[in-house]
Amino acid sequence: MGSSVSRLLRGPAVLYLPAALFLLVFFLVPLFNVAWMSFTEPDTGVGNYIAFFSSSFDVGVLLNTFKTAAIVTLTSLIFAYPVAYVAARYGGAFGSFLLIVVTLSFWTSFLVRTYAWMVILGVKGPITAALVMLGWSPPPQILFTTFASTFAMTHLLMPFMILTLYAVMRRIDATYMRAAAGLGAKPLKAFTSIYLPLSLPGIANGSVLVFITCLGFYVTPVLLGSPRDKMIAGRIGDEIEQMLNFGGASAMAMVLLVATLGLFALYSRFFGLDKLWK
Amino acid sequence: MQPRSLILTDLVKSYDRRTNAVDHIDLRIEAGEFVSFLGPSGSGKTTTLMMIAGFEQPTAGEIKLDGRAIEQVPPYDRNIGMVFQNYALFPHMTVRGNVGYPLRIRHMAKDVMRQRVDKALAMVGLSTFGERYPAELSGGQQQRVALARALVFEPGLILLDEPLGALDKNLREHMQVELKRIHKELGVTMIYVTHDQTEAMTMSDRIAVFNAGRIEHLGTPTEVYFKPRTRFVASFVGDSNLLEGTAGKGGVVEIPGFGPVATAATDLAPGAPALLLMRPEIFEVVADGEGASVTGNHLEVADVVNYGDSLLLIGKAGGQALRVRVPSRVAAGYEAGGRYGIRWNPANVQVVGG
Ligand SMILES: Nc1ncnc2c1ncn2[C@@H]1O[C@H](COP(=O)(O)OP(=O)(O)OP(=O)(O)O)[C@@H](O)[C@H]1O
Ligand SMILES: [Mg+2]
Repeated sequence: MGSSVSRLLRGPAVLYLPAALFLLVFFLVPLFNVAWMSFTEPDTGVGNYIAFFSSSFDVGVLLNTFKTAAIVTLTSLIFAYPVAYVAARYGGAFGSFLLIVVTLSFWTSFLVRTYAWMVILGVKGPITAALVMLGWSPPPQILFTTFASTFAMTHLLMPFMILTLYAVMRRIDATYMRAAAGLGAKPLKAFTSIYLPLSLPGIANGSVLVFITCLGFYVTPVLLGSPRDKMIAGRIGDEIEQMLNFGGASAMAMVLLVATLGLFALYSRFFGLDKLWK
Repeated sequence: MQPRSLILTDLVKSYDRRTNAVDHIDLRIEAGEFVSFLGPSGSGKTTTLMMIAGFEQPTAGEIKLDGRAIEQVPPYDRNIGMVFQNYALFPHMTVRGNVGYPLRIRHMAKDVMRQRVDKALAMVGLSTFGERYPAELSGGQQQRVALARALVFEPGLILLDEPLGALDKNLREHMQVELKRIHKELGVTMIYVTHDQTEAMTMSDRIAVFNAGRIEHLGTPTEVYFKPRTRFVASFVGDSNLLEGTAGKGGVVEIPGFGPVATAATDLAPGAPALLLMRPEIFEVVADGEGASVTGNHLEVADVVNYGDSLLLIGKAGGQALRVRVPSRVAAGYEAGGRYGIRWNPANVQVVGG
């Protein structure tokens, strides 16, 4: 990562100034403010952090947040990969149609889509009705379960994954697969030895994007999930809205930030994000 | 490596069901031959190659490899080496990784594999480049890696689709020589697609001249150049003067304005239309000349183009546009506006299709 940063900075510095200023005012200052509050509100010291780590509930919420994000990342990757693959490889009218559908849902707000799932998965929704009609009685509880919230989050984030994958896959030359076949590779072998590795940057980009976005999810788990599915963003919200505990909330935000950065430092170290993007 | 023979019978490919990209092609390639597909853009060369390799399905016709029909054989089972125009080197593998790929697919033992890769890399002169990635190689080096990868599994038939298209002239000529050397060394059958006629002339045992999905002429470079079957072949291969006239007696053809021309043909039916091919280099330019005869005429030069090793005189003779090529000589002093005598040997004048 060091080398790419130094490469960036070698350009004419003045061109970076507006962006740097923007980052400073709208990102670094508020971030610093949060960090400051976590150590000063209500008392100076690490009290907020001690409180957080000594609460098994809060630590559980943090772990659950990472676990949920990992599951959502994995499932959205599994579902998104074939969609992006078909769109990129076979293009044409069907490929364009797929992308339009994806983009449309991409443009629809998270909140709207979350409420849509509430209706669809609800007791009076079409899924339950269909299950009843098939003779499943009494119908299983779908809404307000871990499944519902994970499912909906996967759906909400899939466009990110699909579009990121597609951007990389579209640039994979079709002659690579022909060349592989010509050299004796059966379709599956050609896919695993050529296409999959070449699409890795897309997988990495998409996973990082989805994982990080998912860490901050707030509304969806609250509206669709069971109370046990609480995620850290929801916890932070509660702390501010219900307890007016700004210091505690700030400390949680900082813990989330540091944990996320730590995780990606590890990831980058072992999987070489730098190399993937070369 | 056992060279393989190939027979195409009445091969047709239509992408849109209205026009034939490949239009009833018959071709027989002997084991060990070097055959070029020469033709203008869009004439069906790549399409034919793709059908042989198995990436496109023929609309009709038959492809036989070593006497065995292969339409039903998928590309990964055909065991044909292929060099793509853009090389298609796998960017995430080193040179060794690329060249070793077909061997890994075939689950070859590690040490045999290392040996074979070493040998293939040595053959293309890239022994010290094994650990590089394709992006770290020049165009010519990439081309050679692609070639090594296509021959490392000893396929017996190698297809090359304009492999030298992207290279500069010097490298191109160097690679032409290398390719021919490898062809000789391995004794493998090679099909070489190009739209560069010089390349086809210098490298091939035989040339198939493609036009609009058909093979207009299949023959040795000498035959294709000196005895072209059709007007298209005559004009596409090499520089040419094509003169239309009417056959007279004893192989003489009467060209309107130009006069009678003695030709190599002897069996022309008097009165029949005849198309003459007079290559620009068959002419001898003489100080003045004896005037028009069956072996000579006058050239009024409108333009002189200096090619370095030769001069092209562009002008008119008896009202017919004529191009005459002469070796460069400092003392020659040909000038635009000049009038010179030209002479030819009837043995060098061909009747196209005759
Ligand atoms: N995949 C395809 N779908 C539809 N038409 C095609 C396809 N590939 C080739 N064609 C058409 O078939 C004809 C022959 O194309 P082909 O690529 O075989 O020509 P070529 O002789 O290789 O030309 P070039 O020298 O430009 O490579 C062309 O008219 C081309 O437009
Ligand atoms: Mg082509």
